[in-house]
Amino acid sequence: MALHRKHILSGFLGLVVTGSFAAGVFEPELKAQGSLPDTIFSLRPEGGKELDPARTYNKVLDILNEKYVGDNLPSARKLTYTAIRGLLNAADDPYTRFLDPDEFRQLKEENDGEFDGIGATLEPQPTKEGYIKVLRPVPGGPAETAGVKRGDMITKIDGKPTTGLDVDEAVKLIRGKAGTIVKLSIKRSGQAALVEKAITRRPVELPILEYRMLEGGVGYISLLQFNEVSDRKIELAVRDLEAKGMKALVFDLRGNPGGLLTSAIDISSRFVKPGSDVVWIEEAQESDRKKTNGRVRYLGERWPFTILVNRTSASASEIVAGAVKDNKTGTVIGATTFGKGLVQTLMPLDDGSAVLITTAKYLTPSRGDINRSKTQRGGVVPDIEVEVTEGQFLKGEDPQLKKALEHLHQKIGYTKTGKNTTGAPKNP
Amino acid sequence: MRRREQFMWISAMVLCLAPFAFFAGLGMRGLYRSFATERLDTGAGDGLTRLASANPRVPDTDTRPQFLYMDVLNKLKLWSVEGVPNDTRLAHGSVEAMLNSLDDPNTRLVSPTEAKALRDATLGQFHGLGAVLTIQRYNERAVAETAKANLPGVLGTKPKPENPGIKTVTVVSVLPGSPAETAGLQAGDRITEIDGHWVAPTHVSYRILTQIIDPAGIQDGRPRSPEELPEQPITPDPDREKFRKEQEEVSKRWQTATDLSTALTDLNGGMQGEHEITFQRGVPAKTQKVKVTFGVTRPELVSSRKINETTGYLRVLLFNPETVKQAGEALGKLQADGAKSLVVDLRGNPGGSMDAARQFAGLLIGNGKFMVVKERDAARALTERVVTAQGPAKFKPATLSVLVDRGTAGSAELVAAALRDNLGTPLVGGSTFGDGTEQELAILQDGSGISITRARTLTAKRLDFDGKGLRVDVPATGDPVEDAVKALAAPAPAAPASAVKGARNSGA
Repeated sequence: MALHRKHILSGFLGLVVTGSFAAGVFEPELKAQGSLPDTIFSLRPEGGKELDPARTYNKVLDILNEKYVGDNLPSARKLTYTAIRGLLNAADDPYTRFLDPDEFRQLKEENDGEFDGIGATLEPQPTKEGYIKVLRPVPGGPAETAGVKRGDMITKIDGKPTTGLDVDEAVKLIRGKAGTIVKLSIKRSGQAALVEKAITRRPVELPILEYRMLEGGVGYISLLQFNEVSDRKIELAVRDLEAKGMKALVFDLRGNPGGLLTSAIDISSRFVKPGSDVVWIEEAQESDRKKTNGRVRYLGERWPFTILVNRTSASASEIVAGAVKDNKTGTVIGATTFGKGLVQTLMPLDDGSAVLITTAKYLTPSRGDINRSKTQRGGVVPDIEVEVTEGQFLKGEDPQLKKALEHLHQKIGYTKTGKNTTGAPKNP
Repeated sequence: MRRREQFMWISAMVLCLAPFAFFAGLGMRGLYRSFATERLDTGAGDGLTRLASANPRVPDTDTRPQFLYMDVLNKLKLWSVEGVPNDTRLAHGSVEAMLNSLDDPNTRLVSPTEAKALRDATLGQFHGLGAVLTIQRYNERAVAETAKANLPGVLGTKPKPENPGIKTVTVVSVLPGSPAETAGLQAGDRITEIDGHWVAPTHVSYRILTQIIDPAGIQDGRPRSPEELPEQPITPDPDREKFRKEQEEVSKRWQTATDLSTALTDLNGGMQGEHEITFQRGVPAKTQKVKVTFGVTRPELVSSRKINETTGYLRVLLFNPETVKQAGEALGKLQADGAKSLVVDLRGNPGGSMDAARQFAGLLIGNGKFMVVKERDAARALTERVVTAQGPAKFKPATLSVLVDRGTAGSAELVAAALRDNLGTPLVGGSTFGDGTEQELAILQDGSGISITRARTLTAKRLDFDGKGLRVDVPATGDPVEDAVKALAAPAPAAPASAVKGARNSGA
């Protein structure tokens, strides 16, 4: 605890210094010009050889304002954002980063799973002609209501041609405040004339979870991210699947980039026995904390389950997979996960921007470090490894899911009768 | 809205405690809480409300950028679990990012080794390669266009903003007797690799590397469900394979790359012994490799002799107070020996002290106009100032000519232009380097330096030669010194028409 106090003190001292250093402390030494420096100044050393980051940053800000001859000197705020990015970059942790107000807003939207827009997913790459292609309008969303169809190509957004824009830029243009209108010019294959659509933006919810019943009474739940409502949505999906006679479960975490730590621990508690360890959390200046499942809601005693993972199953997904693997309560199937064993805390700043700082590491219950680094690949290695080849991927085949099904069918003693009972896709 | 696969890569990094978890966490840090509570009172800590609201309300606390920076620095030090690098590295990180965000390649952070080398260079002692180096934006197309326009020796038109070109370590001058000269390097050469490590035009951080090393592959996300598949089934095609191979090569290149700052450090005394330098020369660029044994070069900075009965020759390799003093003495001696005419040799002179250059010009042109300086005033408005040479003139030769080449840069270019503008002196040799900017180097207490481009320098006749160079009046055809003797011309106050001529001659 004494350590904390020390840090706070140094923080305040830093603030005091900030106000007082700006006075001229330069001493001209020698003048030179051209490709050699014109003038060499020395800063009068004030205590040691170490640089003080805040003082140095302030000094550079001053020198630039006073002397830099170039046009377009960014504003002090913009330069500060850049300085902060540089500061966090020096920390050499890829997850510690700065979010300017725009980026912060976008992150919030993605974390909340809700934002104002038209409700359509887009192809990640523009078409050859430079158009933005609609992959799928969200059912019931503004785009679908306005008659936007799958495969439509957006050629203009509010009159601005999409050629030359990347999808991110197009998304920025399409999103906006609820109630406002965005005009899209749409080219449809087989039609010469452009279709004009005026769409009123509305709050759109990103899907969090998809579930359906697969062959032989095997339930399938795919979780797309860990947020405040994820656990509740799983509860509802499980209830519905059980009502339909679920005898086993495939819990798909492939492509799940993670989310909230609390959500990961909540969801893990469904897949490990009460009293079992879920994850170890190591924080700066704190002794390790072990998170143990304190809740009695283990699903594994009702029926067997498998967890599906791949390279893009990250952070929170890896906590769940690691907990299941180490506690041997279910079978982890797929490819080695991303390898992110670090926890960031989002800290909003006073001007609407924010920083994400890596404040904790986590280890799996058996104290395995799954973080990828310069020295190790990291990731949770599945109990049964199944890769998807590019050819299979492009054809939409899914050998990982197939393997999971086979595995569970064997466990519940189901043999194929030739009758296909795969249910239709369903949205909660 | 967007497909998950598309932003997966970014969002894969985000596993964050919700803000409520963050504030709950404060409970366990009792001593920190008072700090946090204070922040809550000021309305700054209501992260929960603000995070939940789509439009953060207008902040009512002190959001001056300086406080923002302090705030982040304190948070990083207090909370980071990975351990924070030392303060100097953090400071360097910030400064490097700030300076690199500007369009000017020579406004940058200079390492302690390079700063010391620059300081020694102004005194005539050159470390490492033995060449004066700079960072230029190099744009092959712009250079090619210039070459087509048949402007001999001109480095390139200024890169256009929409195609700023790649930052490249460029040789300004090669010092006589240096390792660089032994290896055959020339002014204008662009150094692209050191010992096979590509000199990347940016600082390569771990963050960038992790993204480059592991580009998103096909297994991003789940296999698509049939309804998400495109209407036309995609078939694996050779273009895709080719693209992937290219990506792999690019990522390999990045992984082994060095950056501009490290390269300049290495070449300025940071490296000892023999090393392989890869450089490009000419248009279209021809790549060559040479072995260079680094060492310290101390060239003779001022030399003079009689070319014939009445003609003296004075070479100055660098301007600093000492060389100007020596040059003054040499001129006196030449005059005493009966020299009436003078060839001033500024080839390979990278410039140096502006005051010294003014004094040197003053030896010949008295208090004539030396240059026009464009700089910022207190309100950051661009202002112009005419700077005169520092007389009185010591030597008034009957005839005079000046030798220059591509290694003539900075204040040496200004001296040459001042002689031409004031006395009509012909420039002989090859077009000059084209450095019309002034840098200031502020040395910090750890020995590193902040280089800032603080002014643009124009010739007395307001010619902007930056990035273009001065075009000579008499291109060298044979032995440059003989050409200079042939070109000797009587000093004449510049005729009004020659302003136009000067401008045309300059290669602008």
